Amino acid sequence: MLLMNEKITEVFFEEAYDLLDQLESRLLELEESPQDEERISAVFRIMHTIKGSAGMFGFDVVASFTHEIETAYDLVRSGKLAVTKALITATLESRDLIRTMMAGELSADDEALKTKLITEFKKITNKESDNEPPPEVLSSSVREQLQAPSIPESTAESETTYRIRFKPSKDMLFYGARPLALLHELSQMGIATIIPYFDNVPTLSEIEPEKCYISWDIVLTTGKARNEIEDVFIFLDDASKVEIHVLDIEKMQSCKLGEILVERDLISRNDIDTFLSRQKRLGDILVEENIVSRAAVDSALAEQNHIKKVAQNKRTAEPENNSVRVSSEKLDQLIDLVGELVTFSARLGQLTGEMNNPTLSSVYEQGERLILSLRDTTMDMRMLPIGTIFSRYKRLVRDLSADLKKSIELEIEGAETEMDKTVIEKLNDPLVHLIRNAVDHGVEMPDVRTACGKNAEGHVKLSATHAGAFVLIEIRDDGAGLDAEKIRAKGIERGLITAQDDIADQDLYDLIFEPGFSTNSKVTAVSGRGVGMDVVRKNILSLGGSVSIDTKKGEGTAFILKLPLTLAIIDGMLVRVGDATYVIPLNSVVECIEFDGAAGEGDLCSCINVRGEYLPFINLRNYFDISGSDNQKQQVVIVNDQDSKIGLIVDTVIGNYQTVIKPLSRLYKTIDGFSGATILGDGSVAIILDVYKLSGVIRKTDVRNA
Amino acid sequence: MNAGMNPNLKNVAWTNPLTVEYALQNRELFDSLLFENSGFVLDISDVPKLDITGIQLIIAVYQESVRKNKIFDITGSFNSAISAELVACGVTPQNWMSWKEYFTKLNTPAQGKDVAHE
Repeated sequence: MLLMNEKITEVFFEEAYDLLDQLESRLLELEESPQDEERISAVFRIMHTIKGSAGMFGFDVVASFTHEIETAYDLVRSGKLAVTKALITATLESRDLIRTMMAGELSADDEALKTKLITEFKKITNKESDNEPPPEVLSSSVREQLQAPSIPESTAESETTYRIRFKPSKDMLFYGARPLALLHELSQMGIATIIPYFDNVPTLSEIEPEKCYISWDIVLTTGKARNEIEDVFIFLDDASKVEIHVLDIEKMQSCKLGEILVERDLISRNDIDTFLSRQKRLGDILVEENIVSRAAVDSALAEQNHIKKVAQNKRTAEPENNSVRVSSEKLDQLIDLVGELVTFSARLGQLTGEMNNPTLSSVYEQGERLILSLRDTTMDMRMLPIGTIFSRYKRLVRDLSADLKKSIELEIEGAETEMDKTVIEKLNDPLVHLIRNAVDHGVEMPDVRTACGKNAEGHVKLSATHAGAFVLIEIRDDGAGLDAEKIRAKGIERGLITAQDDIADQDLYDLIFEPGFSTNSKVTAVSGRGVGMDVVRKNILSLGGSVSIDTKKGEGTAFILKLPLTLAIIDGMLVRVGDATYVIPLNSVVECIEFDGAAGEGDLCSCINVRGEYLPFINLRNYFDISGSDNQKQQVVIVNDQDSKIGLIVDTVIGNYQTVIKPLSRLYKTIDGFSGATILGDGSVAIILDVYKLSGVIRKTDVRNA
Repeated sequence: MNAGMNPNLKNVAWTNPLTVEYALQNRELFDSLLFENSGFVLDISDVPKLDITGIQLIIAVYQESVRKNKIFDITGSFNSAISAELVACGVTPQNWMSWKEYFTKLNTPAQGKDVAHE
């Protein structure tokens, strides 16, 4: 039982954190469109759900605090309170505080913030209730809602639809009760359709003005609980009747008139059948009147049946619940197991090849296909849209630009681009550094921008796009751009370069990735300490990615991160150089050709002519200092490195290989050209080559195309 | 209103707040209007407030007109002064026209204006 309670509380925490994340995004969206009723309702619903769940799980402090915010958004929802920047800021602060409350005990500072926020919200809501219009005047939004009592296309999961049958006693008016006020109150609780019954209104001579003869059915879709609806009628006299029924929307959405009348106990099913049997069908009438032929009617009916059937099948095919929540730990375990299975499959493949048994080969191939399919599905499960972290940066830019007295808009593009969960998790810190830098150093102060003829509002764009097996993430600002001369001066001052060095601007920019390098003379709370960019590069490189800079003075800077889609399993090409085996990521491989042996034995790098195109290459035997010489024709594996191609000379190309990436020990960290290792079918280890770093070796040795 | 269909029909403007206080007097007035004429048109454009008493009275007048085979019609737009009450009662701009049809057997022109109560 205890375990069950723990599990339930765990679910509450997971859902609450999800809701708080959603709340942040919704609030930032609401700030952009403060009139958007859908967003207002979304914020209200989130606060309402957090309050309800927190109360249910005994987090009374969270529940009572959330109540204050919910009250404010209830007023916003009913059009009595405007969405202001101050309200959004207070709600964002409250959202952070709720997170802290859920994490544990509040510090003295947190308690002070809590008191401040409660006072602020009370002030907002009290001020509003003083200005509340007299009850008979409806706010425009409520009136709009009442005047168009249509059922929404989709109601929130937490909402329920009730049928309320309200039969006031005839003496209700005499007791001073106002039925219209009750109907008004119900209308404010959600979306209401009010149906009046006039059947009991007597003749003109018999009518007594102080008596109430009208009764109502109210169909109300609301997030409020049944007892809250009952509370509306709490002061009714005993003779008045109120019946509240919950309607099953799913069941009733296709209900016909007769079924609703039966459900309301107004008529029996037999009576319905009797009357229906008397009713002539439209097709029969049209045929009798010689307007259309029987064949035409039959054809139209057949078409109608077909459409019904297709629609029915479509509904059946739609999964009722298309997602389940699985802990990331379990997912990681699954990936490990699939990795082991892939290694096992490779070993089995090797043995099968050695045994030369056609039956075994056929079974192995079938098994391999299944394992590969399982691998792809499992890898797909780890893919998440990068928007899951992108949305956090809206808040970062909002708060930072306010602190720095700048006005900056963050544009997000490609949020739906998917990447491996592990890559996304490790990407957060580098992105935070880059965005902070763009906001602080990149975008100028509004007066400086205006003086340069730019728009006073700065612009930072965060975008993600797929590029083969990589994802390119770009953080681009329209600020001042990097100043090559300042960087050169700072580089000389720090002894990284000398005044005599003739260094191209692009290489100078690389200096900003050196530890402690900053051209900013002023250290702010945000940036300027020179800590960050080196961490950015280190983190990106550890993910198997790269960082490049595109900048133009006065126009802005872009940092482009190139990251692999996944870090777990890749398709590789197995090659042999001497006795060593290496894996080249298959997504980088362009083609394999025979090497004509033009390179000298001791050469590390040179050029090769591939159908008229001169490509630089690395002789891996020389680069890795592998002893012995080949006594056969070598091969060149041509690989893509971002925009250019290079060749890698190997002894033999073995073939494709499912590569489960294992990290290298620290001993190998300093060696350029390795990105990991994998275990082969026979238990030996193969090094995975880092194509990007190998091409860097070529750049360093300054090989020029002929 | 289609002008010229029934020139003898009275057009009565409803200007008082139709609450219990006035309802009995108005009931008498409407009854006599139905008795003495071929019917009448009730103009609700200027009624300051239309509450349940008023709505019930309209229903009763309509039912009486049907029984006596007289004409009863309502004129006046769905104005803001009365909309809140009508909306709360289930009448909306969308079904307002059908309400008018419900009360009206024959469209009749307005001929002069009497005042329901002063």
